[in-house]
Amino acid sequence: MKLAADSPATLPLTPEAKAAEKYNIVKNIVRGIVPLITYPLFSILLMAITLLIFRFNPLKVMPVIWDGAFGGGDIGHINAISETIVKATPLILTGLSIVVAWRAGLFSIGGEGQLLMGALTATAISHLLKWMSSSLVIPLMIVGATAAGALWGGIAGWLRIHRNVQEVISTIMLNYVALYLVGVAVEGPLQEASKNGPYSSLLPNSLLFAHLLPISMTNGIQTRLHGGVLIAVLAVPIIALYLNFTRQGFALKLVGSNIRAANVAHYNVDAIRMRAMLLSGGLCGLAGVVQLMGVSSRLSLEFSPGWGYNAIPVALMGGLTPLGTLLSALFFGALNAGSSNAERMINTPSVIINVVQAVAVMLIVSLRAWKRRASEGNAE
Amino acid sequence: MHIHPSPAAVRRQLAFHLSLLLIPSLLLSTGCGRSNQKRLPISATPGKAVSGKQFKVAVILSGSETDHGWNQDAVTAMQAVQQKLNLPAADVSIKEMATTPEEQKNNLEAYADLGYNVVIGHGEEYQAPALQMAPDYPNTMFVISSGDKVASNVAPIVFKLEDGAYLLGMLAGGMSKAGIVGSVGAQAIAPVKSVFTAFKLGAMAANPNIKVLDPVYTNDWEDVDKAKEATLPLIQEGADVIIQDLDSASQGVFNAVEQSSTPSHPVYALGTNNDQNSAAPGVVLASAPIYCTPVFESICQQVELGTFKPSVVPYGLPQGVIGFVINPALQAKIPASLLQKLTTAEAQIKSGSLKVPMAGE
Repeated sequence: MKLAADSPATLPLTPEAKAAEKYNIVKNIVRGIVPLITYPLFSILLMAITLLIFRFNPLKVMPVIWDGAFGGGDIGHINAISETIVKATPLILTGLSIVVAWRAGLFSIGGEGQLLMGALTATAISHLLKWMSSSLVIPLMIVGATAAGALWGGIAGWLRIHRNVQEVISTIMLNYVALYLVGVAVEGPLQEASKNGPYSSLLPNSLLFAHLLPISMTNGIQTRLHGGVLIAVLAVPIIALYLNFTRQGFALKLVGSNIRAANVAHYNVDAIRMRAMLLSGGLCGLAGVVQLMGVSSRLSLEFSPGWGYNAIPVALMGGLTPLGTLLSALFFGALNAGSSNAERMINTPSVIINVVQAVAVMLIVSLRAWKRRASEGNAE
Repeated sequence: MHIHPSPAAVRRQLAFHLSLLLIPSLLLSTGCGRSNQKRLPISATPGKAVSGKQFKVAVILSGSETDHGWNQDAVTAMQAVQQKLNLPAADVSIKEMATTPEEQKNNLEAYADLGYNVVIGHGEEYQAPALQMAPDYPNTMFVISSGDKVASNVAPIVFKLEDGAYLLGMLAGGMSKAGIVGSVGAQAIAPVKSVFTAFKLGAMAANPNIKVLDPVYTNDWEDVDKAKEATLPLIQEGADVIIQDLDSASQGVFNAVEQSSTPSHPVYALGTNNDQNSAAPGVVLASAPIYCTPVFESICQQVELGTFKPSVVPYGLPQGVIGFVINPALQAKIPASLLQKLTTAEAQIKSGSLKVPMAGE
């Protein structure tokens, strides 16, 4: 697009420039679509190979995974797709959190801790139900969890700005602090009344997100699709608009891509970084309360299976864009929903699916690195 | 051009954008609150086999199916159920590593949705979610290992480890040269305390003058070092037989005992929950393991016939659910008279003429 940008707007474009522009647009569209097809295809291929290595018949296992993710066999289509979306929900929010931080050039690994702080705060606030109505407690839980996540991100931001502690290190450390705080809480003040195990009591129905689909739509089987899913889905356009069409979003990208330029233009780099960490943490805190009120119902040390960490491959596979993150979270959601089904239906061990996911992530990351090296090679 | 916004403006804008995120959630919160949509009529015989439909059984484990303990035993038991009820392999399902509350709840629901007749949640953590969802699934029998609450289609399995602990106590009382025995537990919760009480009663039955030190608690089911640190002072106080209820952390007790034991002053440990005799064959005198097979078989069989009624009646030595296994490597060290006493007591507990008390009874 160099040609078009350099020529004054009043001058008509030469036919060559027009052709080049058209070619560029087509090229960009193809570039956007190709990974959406190739990555899942490669992952499916890898899954087949992994299953073969562990002596499972891919032709037997993979259709069951498909049924769990998209329906078929004993599983209704709406039920399976709901399950895929429910499994994707936390990854959408935590993935967006990574996108926001990384846009500002901050490598936050703190999603897990921020998410746990959100869930912990929301669990504590849920006890207000003794004195307040649920229509007051629910907004408090959501706001409180978001604020707690933002605070956890903010601590790492403050350390980076004022003590020059790399956020890669501080966020990992803060994950452990959050985890141990949860541990203390569920064996102490927030433990369930019977004191049998290290977890909080189940949230009452009045504090859970409503189920979105009536059972009449789904063969009498309740899907888990809950109100929190809408929060995650709505967060995608909001973050996309924020990053791409607001002044703050521009400032974030500027700091992330060229800090010297940001300084020269008198941007307050510290404030912008802080803002990125707060927003990033807030999104993870929100993910924590969405999971708590949507599917988990109770807090324990094992509350998150790594939603905060898995956000990194999700965001990377999504090309660090909000829309890409949504799609890649849905892909991982489908993989999770499908593999859970395969475990139940044909006893495929869960570890195999973990291997498949890990290999898929490594493949994607290495493909990206290989592509980048190839394009750098071309430029020389 | 936009240059250097004031900090106050930055804060205002940030607050604005964060609040944007919250708008949908606030809107939703009015539509919040979940109702149980189904509430079908309660079935008289939840889980009973229906002619023309396969009888299906599932177990959900919070850990690995190869943990050499609690979870692996459930897998063995499920294989036994499959054989006993003559079910095709496809109708017996095992979900392992359901570590998160989300997966635990989700798998209970998912199996019930798939029409499983019996869904076993292998641990107390499944009890609250099962009780909550049970009314929605009147045709599924939820079974909770180590549960303690009953509903029309939620059945607890109460393991009476006390039966085994009593025999371990007798063995400890008879074997202790110093006349002092001790106990190390993870958490001072009712079931653990009850096991130690039964141990004390057994020890006093074998030796009325035995000194049973107060139980020590580490507050950790996994930390081996903490378990070791808790055990060493007991040995210093003179205890020479130590019982523990520590799950994964029990190796710490065995290590402390191994380190303190000498030929002239032998110190012994005792195993619980699993057959731990081989964990430290030089010092573990005997174990009181839990066997899931008889109880899983019995419940599944009764559910299939429609004769099962959930209850809190405990499963102990008489049902073969709790065992008492002497370490063959150390059996020669146990006097014949003591072995005779143990055999008699075991038979008495099995026949019901000797009743070991347990908490809540």
